[in-house]
Amino acid sequence: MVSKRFVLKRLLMLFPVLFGVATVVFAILHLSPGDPAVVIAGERASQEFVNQIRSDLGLDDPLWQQYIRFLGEVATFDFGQSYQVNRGTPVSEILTDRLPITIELALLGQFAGLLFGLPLGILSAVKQDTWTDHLTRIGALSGISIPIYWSGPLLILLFAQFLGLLPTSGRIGSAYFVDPVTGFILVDTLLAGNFAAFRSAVTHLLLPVVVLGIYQMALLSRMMRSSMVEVIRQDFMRTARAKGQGSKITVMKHGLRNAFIPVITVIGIQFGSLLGGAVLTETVFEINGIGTLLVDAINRSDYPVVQGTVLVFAVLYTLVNLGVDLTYSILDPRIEQ
Amino acid sequence: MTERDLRPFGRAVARWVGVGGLVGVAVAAVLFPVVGSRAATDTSFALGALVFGFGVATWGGTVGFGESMVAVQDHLEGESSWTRSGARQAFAVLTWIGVGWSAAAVAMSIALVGL
Repeated sequence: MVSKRFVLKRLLMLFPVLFGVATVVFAILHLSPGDPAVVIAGERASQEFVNQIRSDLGLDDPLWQQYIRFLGEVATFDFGQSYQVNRGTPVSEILTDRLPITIELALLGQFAGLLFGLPLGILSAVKQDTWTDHLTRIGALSGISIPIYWSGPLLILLFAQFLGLLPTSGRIGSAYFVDPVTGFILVDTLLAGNFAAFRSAVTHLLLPVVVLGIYQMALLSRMMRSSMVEVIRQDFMRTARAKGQGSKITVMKHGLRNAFIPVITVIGIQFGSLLGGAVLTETVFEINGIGTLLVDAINRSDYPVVQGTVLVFAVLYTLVNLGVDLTYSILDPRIEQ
Repeated sequence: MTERDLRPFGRAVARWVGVGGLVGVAVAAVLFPVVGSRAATDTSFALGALVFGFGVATWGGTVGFGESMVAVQDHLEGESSWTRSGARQAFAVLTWIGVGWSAAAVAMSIALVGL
């Protein structure tokens, strides 16, 4: 059982982490080229008009004053209003609409990765140096080596263009409309009892999830294999087998728990790349999640949207790693001590 | 912390804040003739904030999750020379440099541009 002190300490340390991330995002945005006032006003606008916009947005104040204002807003969860992407709409409202889309995609990608990666890794370790192992390792190496912006269009070409089995873009067919309740399209279609819409959502999400899941699967199977190979050689495994315990039970009961700690670490760290991957996947498959929002906001110098989005990414990432940290101590209580 | 412990800590903080302050002034001074007072102090402040933000975030991460990182490293019998206290000190130095840098940039901004 994880102690309250252990959890509290880690929760408290999230504040400096998020404060630091907020500061870094603010600094990077203001160091990068591009003037939001010029973007909003347009290239042909007069200098007076640009100055007027700059003054209205508070961009003519010294940077340190803008920073203090920004911190005050972030502390009250007020990320301001969008300059460009959804002009005048509060960023928190935009994020509330778009965040579930990305979280759904990332979770499904992670689930697919775990579903196939872990059994393949275990199988590869147990059947070490057989053709099963070689095949799995080649598959994992290929999965790690293929970038999303290449595998995505390739799968679209194969399954959508040539075979015509799956749709190319979006989250659901244009013939269906489902009222968003949770924001997760699969859950919302089921809640609405609209199974045709659910089928449409599944076929639409299949390719993006496969694209996201391939990398996760490859990495997790490699990690699981190497970790399990180490554990299988340990004395306690030999002892368990010597006591007459079946090979499968020994692996699943004693091996898996011990081999899981490095895998859990990778899952936590990889959640960041999963969110980054969601940015690319959403762009390739034209899904209007937080990833496409971020790309759009960066292109249009929409500072409040970029700041809000990156902070939400940071919160998600730190929370996932907090979960990973707590899982360590459940798997091996010595870590907490 | 006793008063005896506080003195060297205070001296170390003052030293790194001072170093940051010097860097902040130097960056603004170098940029001033090229881009003008406002842009020079703003850029110096943004760079200082970048160092400060990175320092705070990584320091927080090390204090919060460092124990687990060490424990997992031990569990895996890793041979890395990474230590929690070393990382915490390094990121604290970065944080104080960032504080000094940003503060110097703010002071120069008030002096050259005004409030």
